[in-house]
Order: sequence, then C-alpha cells, then structure tokens
Amino acid sequence: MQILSESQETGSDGRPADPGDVWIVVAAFNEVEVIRSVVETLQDADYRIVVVDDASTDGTGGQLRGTRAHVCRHAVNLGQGAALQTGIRYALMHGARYIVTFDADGQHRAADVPRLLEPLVDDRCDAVLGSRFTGDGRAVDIPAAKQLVLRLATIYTRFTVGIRVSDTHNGLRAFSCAAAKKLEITQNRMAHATEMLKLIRRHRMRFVEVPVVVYYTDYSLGKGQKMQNAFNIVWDCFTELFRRCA
Amino acid sequence: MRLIQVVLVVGALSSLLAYLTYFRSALRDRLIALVLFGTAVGAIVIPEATTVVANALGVGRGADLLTYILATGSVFAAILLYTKIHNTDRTVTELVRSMAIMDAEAPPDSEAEEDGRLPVNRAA
Repeated sequence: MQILSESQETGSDGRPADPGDVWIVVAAFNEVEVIRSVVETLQDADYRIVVVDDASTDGTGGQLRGTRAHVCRHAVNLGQGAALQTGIRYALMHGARYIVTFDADGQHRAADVPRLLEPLVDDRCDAVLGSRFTGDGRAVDIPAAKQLVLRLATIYTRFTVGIRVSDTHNGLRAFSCAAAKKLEITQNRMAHATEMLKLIRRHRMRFVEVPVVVYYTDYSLGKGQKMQNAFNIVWDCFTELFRRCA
Repeated sequence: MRLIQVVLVVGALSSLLAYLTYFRSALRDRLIALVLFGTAVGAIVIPEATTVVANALGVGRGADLLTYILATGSVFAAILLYTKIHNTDRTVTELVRSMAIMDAEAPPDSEAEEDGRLPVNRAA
C-alpha cells in the first residue's frame, strides 16, 4: 500500500488517491435489480465499498454475495440519511482516508469519483459535492418537473442554510476522513441532504462543487425520490429548526 | 350531587390510580398528577369556582376557561409526546446502526492480510 508522508506534496503533481484509501458508501433500499452492477463498476476501480442494506425486502443483500463489498444490514428500515451515517462510521472504523457517498440506483458514474477526490487529495477542500448543474456536469434525460424542483431547492437552501450551491440533492459527494468524522447525520430520511450542507457550514468545511453526470433511467425515476418528498424534506427541516429553538 | 359529577369524579379518580399504578414516574410527576386531580375534582364538585377564577382572569364563563386550558394543554401534550418519540427514534437508530456495524459482513479476503485485522464475519 502506498504510504504518503504528511509533508509530501501529493496534489500538485496530480497523483490520484490510492483506491485502497477510498471508501465508497452506498445506501441501498430495495435495489435488487441494479445494486450488483453498481457495486461491480466500483470494485473494478479497486475502491473499498460498504453497502448499507436498509432492511431491503427484495433480496438486495443477496445480490452482493461474491462481490468485494462490505455489507451492513439495518434490522429495520431507517432511511437514506441513517444508512449513509452507518456506512460512514463503518468506513471510518476501517481506516478510510476519503469517503465517497454514491447512490445505489445506478444514477452515478464510477468514472466521476476520481474528479471528486482530486480536491481532497490536493488538500484544497474538506468536502466535495457532485453537481449536475455546473461546468460540464449533466443530468441526462432529467424530467422538467424534477429539474424545476432541484432548482427551487438550491434557492431554498441559499436562504435557510446560507450556502450557495448549484445542486443540493446530489448523492455523489466526497469527504476527507477529518470532515467525515464531523458529519453526524441525524435526519434519518431524505432531509439529510440539506443537513449535510448545514454541517458543512457549521464546521466551516472548505467545499467545492465538481461537475458530474447523473443519468435518469426509467428505473431510477421509478425508484428515486417522489416529488411529494420535497414537502417532506421541508417539513423535516422545519421540525428540526423547531426542536433547536425549543 | 348530580349524577354527572359522580361519573366525572370516578373517571378522574380512575385516571389518577391508573397513572400511579402503571407508571413508576418521578416523585415530582406524581405530585403534579395529584395537584391536577385535586383541581379537577374541585372544578367538578364546585363548578361555580371555575367561574370565579375565570372572572379573575378576564374570562366570562368557567366553561370557556376550561376550554382554553384544554386546548393549550393538548398542544403541550402533543409536543411532549413528539419529543419523546423523537428521542426513542434516535435510540433505535443508534441501536440498529451498532448492530449493523457489529454484524457487518466483510468480503472473505478483505483486510486480513493487509492490516492484520480479521474479517468481521469470521467471528461467527
């Protein structure tokens, strides 16, 4: 395993992160059709992978037999935020240097991961957020309504969190281990995306958005967040705010 | 004493007894329950008293005052319950997370030779 001394300049010469230092956290709930191919594209790149099976009922866990993924199983369904937190803790316990969160539904490309890691390896950032709406990032076959909701979410986030990003709800993110240790996601359901941004701000993490490509397939559209979830997210954030005041 | 008063007093008394019997709560909470019970019985047996209190507070009728107290009381109770449920959720999350990490399945040859740790799933 490659050992980088702390003083060594790792970034300027463009050396990529050692895949063995990189843990990909995949939160999966009922993804039996695609989970195996998602894990396989990641293990082809030699990353460490932890899949958190959020009490799937369709045999998602069985699909992982024979892969190189570590599997944590929630005994009851807790939601994506909780599953990510479980995976992050597991990765940290196993000495992860960089942690990448990656959606289980096949929306992301493993090829984007090195781009996310670059600013971390260079130590220019503590957190890197994938964005489908910046630079050469793309959202392939995105439905118009979805695009609108995502745009509105960025405006909402600018006011409530005070962070200006072009894509608030992109599951592809990367954190240094120091930053990941500070992430304590308490929003079990979908509001964790906003919560992560809040934590980035609260801990004054250096962050950057990196263009990524997100694919909208019939599968991901059927599986992904329903539109009414936008309401749930606002509601979760609101109650969180209320509890903070109370 | 009217029949309704008897029914209400019996109801209040059963609630108090049920609370004291089934919930081993803090002494403070039990005292609060006793005070509430006393107030309730007072209001049932001497309904005119509520009107006196209501007038003192600027409310016309005792029954109106009771409505206001009931409304704020139920909101307060809802918040209390919500907080409790939320805390329970957090506990469950932590528990499920610990179990998931403890029982994690590592791929067979994963870290054993690399950093000397045994794969997690070999323990069983």
